[in-house]
Amino acid sequence: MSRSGFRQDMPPTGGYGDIPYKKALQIPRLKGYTKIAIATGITLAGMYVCTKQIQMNSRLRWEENDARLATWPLVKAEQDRLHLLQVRKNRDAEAELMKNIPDWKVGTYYGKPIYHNAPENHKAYSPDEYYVHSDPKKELRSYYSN
Amino acid sequence: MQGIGKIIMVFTKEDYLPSEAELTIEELPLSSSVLKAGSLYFGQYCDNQSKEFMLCSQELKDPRKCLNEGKEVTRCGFEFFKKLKQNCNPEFAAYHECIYRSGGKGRSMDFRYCRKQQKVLDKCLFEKMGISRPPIGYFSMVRVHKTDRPKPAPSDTD
Repeated sequence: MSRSGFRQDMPPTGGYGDIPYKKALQIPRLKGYTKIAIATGITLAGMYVCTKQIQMNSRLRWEENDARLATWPLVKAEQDRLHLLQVRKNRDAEAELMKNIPDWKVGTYYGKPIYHNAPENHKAYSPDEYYVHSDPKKELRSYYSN
Repeated sequence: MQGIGKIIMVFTKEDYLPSEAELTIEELPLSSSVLKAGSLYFGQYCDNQSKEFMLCSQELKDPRKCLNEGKEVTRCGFEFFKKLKQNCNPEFAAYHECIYRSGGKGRSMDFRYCRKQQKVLDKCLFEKMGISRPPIGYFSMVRVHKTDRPKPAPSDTD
């Protein structure tokens, strides 16, 4: 190895570059206030759409309720008549069934009324009593309808 | 069944019950879908009779005393549906068909899927019978009913 060929390792001309000790932060594309504004805008728009949806559903429900209420008198009138017919049938059937029993009074238990102070317009009875002289299937159906 | 040994009906021989002839009248032979389709128009047409009957049954709470009002409602229902059939039969048939099928398998019979047929029917009903579809919530909101019906006597439960 000749002496002229020797070359000392030295820093590059102009020196080494700076050591990158700073954290490389990504610069945000949007400013903070812009982001807040966008988030608020989306929330408000969502609230508007949601409110409109709720209002529309409510209107539809009101309309269905209207229809039910408008038909109710028609249904109730028929229901009342059928109910009275059944009550009448029950009373007649009971009179026929118990005609051989002495001291039996129809609608009472040997003359003792069921309800001590029942008002005139409110004759309460259980479904079993109401359907006692009819088809048992009819009573079961009445529990599972509506 | 509980207590079948001593079943006792509470109506005695002395209690008044209307006779079978009074209770048996011709009933409207309509199914739920027809009633639903015509409900709002029926409510408009028979408004007075319906309110009178409901007032009676709410005040007296006794089906025996409101028979005549109930018969009046049914008679008005017959009148309305007959008129509907005479005047707007094809329009109503189309609307009823839509109402019957709307709501899918649940058969909820919603009004909202039948606006197209409803428009046609509304127009026909307004031109021929003078009935318009009431605004939404008309029957659901409180309405004042003016009547000559006497006030009921206060009962012992009041």
